Amino acid sequence: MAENKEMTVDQVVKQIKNGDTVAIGGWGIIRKPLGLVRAIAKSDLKDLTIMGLAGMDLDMLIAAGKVKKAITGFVAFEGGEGRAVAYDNARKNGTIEYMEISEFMLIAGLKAAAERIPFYPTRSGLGTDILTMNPEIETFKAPYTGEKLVAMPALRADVCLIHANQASSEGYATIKGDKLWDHIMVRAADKVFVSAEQIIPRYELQKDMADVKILTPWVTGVVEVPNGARPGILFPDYIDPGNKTIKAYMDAALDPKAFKEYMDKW
Amino acid sequence: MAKATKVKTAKTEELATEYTIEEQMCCALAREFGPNDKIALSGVLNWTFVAEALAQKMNAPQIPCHHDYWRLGGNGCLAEGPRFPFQVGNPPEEYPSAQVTSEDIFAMVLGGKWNIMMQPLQVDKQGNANLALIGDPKKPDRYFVGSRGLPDNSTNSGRTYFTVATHLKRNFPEVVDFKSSAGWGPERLAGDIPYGAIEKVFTPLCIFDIDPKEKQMRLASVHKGVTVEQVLKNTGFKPILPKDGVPETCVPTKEELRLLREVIDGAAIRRLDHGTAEEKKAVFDQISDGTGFVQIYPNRR
Repeated sequence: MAENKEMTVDQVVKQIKNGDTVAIGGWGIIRKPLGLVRAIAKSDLKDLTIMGLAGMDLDMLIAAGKVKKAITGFVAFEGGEGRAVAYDNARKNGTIEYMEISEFMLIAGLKAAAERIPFYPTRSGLGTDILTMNPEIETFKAPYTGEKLVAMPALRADVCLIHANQASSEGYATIKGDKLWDHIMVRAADKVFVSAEQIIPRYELQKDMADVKILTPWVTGVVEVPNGARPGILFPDYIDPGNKTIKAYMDAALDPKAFKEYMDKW
Repeated sequence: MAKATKVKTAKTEELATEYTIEEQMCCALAREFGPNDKIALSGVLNWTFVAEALAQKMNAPQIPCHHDYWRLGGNGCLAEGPRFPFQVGNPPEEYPSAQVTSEDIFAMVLGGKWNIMMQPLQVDKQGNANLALIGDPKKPDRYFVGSRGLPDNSTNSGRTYFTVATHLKRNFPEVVDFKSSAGWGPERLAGDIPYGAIEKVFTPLCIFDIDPKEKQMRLASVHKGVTVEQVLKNTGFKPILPKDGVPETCVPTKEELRLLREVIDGAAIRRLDHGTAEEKKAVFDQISDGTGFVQIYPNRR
């Protein structure tokens, strides 16, 4: 009988250690595992490095004081109305470390980590201040042609968190809309936790087999979190962003007392 | 990589006598696209979508528009028609679509099929653009959204167009605060960046292109009623001026105007991107006829 990977949100949080690098799936506020993120924000964890195409996830963790470093392709509340007030504030005041790269450079770094190679060759970033600001990213002369390319270093994570429409206790998960880069991200992490709107028996997944985008070998644990991507959006379950909740978050994010009230409420 | 197809309108075509700056801009951008183009991404402005729709009706019927449209579950969709707001007055059968995933998008970027219109905060003399932040990158006055896909587009994709909705000195500095995209700096001049070069910059006052010899921003044309002095006064660097003088931005033909006004953009959402917040709101109120957002964006409630 297959392993039962079902666990609780608290059990997921316990698997994360202080100082871990946590890769978070989704994009902006699209299909972000915000249920899990909220639990981390309320936990005692600290000094995390957060990696991803970031939005409310990173911003909320910064507001909660959990973040030492951010590795991002962008930080935006894309898909909803709002902006990353805590990240903006942290960058202005220099209170977090950061590695700001481009969307594809982040993906390239994940691909390298997923394939256990030290770097991924790309033209992305050439001629830009991304290379000036991140001197550890080297360029090289390509074999065969001599072209100048960027050697995007592998971005390995200790933990990866993603959100899915459905998952089975064995660790299969369906993503009905764009899988974004979650399928690459799960391969670049040592432990992978999938929150899903619903945990369903494996045989029910057969109906939507083409939507099963995450396979069990990558997955450490699955956890049922209904509305787990709100106030962001999850296709097709909820496609209207919770702009009022996002606004309430933005109003509260920079004030510790108001932020605690927000977190208690949501 | 598909070269920009410079589509000249036939001399016999009748030119319009009454037209607006937005209509000029739409025509100028639409004429950048031709039969060799595979896809165009219009970014987030209304007038660029109108321009792309005009290109589809005129010289590039084969290009699908990419719509940022999260609701379809993807990172957007492809449609054989203009953007959803155009459903005002347009038949729904023009909007079959395919989901476009992030992976599809980057495949098109990296494969050079993608021609993009982006809206950076700043563009400088070398054609570098900044989307990331304002101020010192190490301690910015304001963080915007990061560089996003600009470093990817400007080094990998087809042609890159920028549209800057406000033409002030701070938008066009000598050197941008952060180089999000690779313009004509030392790397491109040395031949290290063969793809994704900036083609043109559209502003409410003028169009800049890249001088073929100097590889710096050139004032290609000024819009109707705009003077060269006005542009220079509002530009932080000194653009190259064409020897024979700066022409007026292309004058729409009567056919282009008919398509714009009667077929593509009856509601005239092309006016929604420029001007002050109050001016834009006035235009929006006029277009929506008091019914608000719903009528213009019926699918976005």
